[in-house]
Amino acid sequence: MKKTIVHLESLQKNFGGLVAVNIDSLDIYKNSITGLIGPNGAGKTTLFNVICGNLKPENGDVYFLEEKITSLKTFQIARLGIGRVFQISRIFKGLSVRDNLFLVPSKNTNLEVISKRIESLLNDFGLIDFSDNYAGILSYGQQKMLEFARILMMDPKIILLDEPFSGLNPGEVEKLIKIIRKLNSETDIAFLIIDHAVSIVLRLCERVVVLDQGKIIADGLPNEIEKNERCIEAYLGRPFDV
Amino acid sequence: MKDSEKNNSIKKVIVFFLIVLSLVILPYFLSSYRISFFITIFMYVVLAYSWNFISGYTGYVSFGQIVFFGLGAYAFAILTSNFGMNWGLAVVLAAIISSLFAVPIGLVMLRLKGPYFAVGMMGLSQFLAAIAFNWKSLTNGAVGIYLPPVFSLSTIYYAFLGAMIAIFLLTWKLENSNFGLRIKTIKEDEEGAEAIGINTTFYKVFAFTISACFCGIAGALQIYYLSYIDPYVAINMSLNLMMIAMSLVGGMGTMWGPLVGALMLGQLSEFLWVSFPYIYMIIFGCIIVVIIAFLPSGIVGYVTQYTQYRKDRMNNLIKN
Repeated sequence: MKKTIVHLESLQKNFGGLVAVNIDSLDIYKNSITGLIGPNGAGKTTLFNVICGNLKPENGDVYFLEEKITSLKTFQIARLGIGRVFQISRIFKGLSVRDNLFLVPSKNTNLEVISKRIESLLNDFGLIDFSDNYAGILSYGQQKMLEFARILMMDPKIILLDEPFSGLNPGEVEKLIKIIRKLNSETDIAFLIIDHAVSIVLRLCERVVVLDQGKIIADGLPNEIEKNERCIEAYLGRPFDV
Repeated sequence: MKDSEKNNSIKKVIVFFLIVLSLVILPYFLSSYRISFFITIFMYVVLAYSWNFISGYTGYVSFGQIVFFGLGAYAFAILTSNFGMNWGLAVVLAAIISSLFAVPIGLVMLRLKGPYFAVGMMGLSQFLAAIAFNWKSLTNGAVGIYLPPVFSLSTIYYAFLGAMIAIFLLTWKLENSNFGLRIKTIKEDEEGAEAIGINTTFYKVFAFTISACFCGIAGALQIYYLSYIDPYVAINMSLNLMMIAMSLVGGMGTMWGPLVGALMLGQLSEFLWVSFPYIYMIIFGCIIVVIIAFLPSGIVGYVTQYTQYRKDRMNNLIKN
């Protein structure tokens, strides 16, 4: 029986008269790699915002490991173990690369342990040469790596990725896929990934949830989703001859 | 720490100590006029660092920190004249009162972003002025309150010196601690900071309160010095703008910026006032505008960027 890490119950989020999110029930499982796809305006980012406490739902609740987190503030939810990587890189450009990692609140307060952790993360993500430089001088791809390293400092149990592959060249895409797969197998971090690069999502994720106009229209294995008529109509499109 | 770094730190501490020592013995060699001059400069430095503490580091630019100067000023005046309190205790209480007000004010006002916060704070300062004018039983309105004159200027000199050193050290601590790093993230990207678990509300209210505390101390000491208070003196709008100008010119969000700005503008305004008594304000304003237009990150900001540029160029040349 798969264990649930995030559970959404009767979740509804409106913007005025527009129903942005309307989900009866959704479970994200521990240590899974789940894709969240759908057309623009489907409510994917809004859903992330509700889970992370940036927006409050009109109705329903978000549960994290059986604990109701709907009314918590964003930083509290982050500390519980829900990490989020945004579409646009949100590293602190005016602070040094090392400081970007150093300032992350973590349960561990031992300076030596934290320093070692920072060193190993900087090495793993190829940023060690830039440790004392301003984060703003990093290239786009490197900034994304720094964001990942920073999220890991938080000891997250699930990482929400909002369009992580946008703006990356094929080499960087492969690198990121490897990182996600490696983290998923070596630790028990779950991943929930929004992206428009459907081919990548179908390749990387073991389960795909399709959102359209705030509702879940499909939820299953990648190859099932690929063949699903409703999804094809709403989003995927058919292969065409140019 | 490496040995060379340790040596550097020790050197810095010694230099700091020597400077403080010289400032401590200075009054014995100075006339009353000169001591007054230093008192004014010290007050400018305290205010510049106080403004910098919240606006420079969190990016919440306040156009009304003077409200805490005013609160401290009136608290001091009322405690000493109505309650006959000893001046030292009155200053401490003024600081506490400013700080206590700062917490709820901060929790409310710091929900406003950018220009709304700036103007909101300005509005708050006018609100306090209105209360000062109208609550005559407490503040004596526009007539003001006269306090017994001070005989020893040195006392005020040392009090301001103490406050200056304190806020300077607090700023140093901000620049050199994890706590301070987190405060800085608010200016960088507040939402991003929240997303990695930083309680931004706590950090910005903290910075706001420290700023308010020292503005309150400055207000109290200023009233002690003037031996008089009225709403114009307490909610001194030109001082309000001076605070901002000094930090901007010196360099917002830097360790030395407020000091450089306070010394520069303090000297400049004194010189201009003496040399061009009728139009010094206009010239002063023009100079500030020109400096900010050409050096938006202030003098210290510019120097830092320039030395960083030179460093990077050297590194590049060495690599290639």
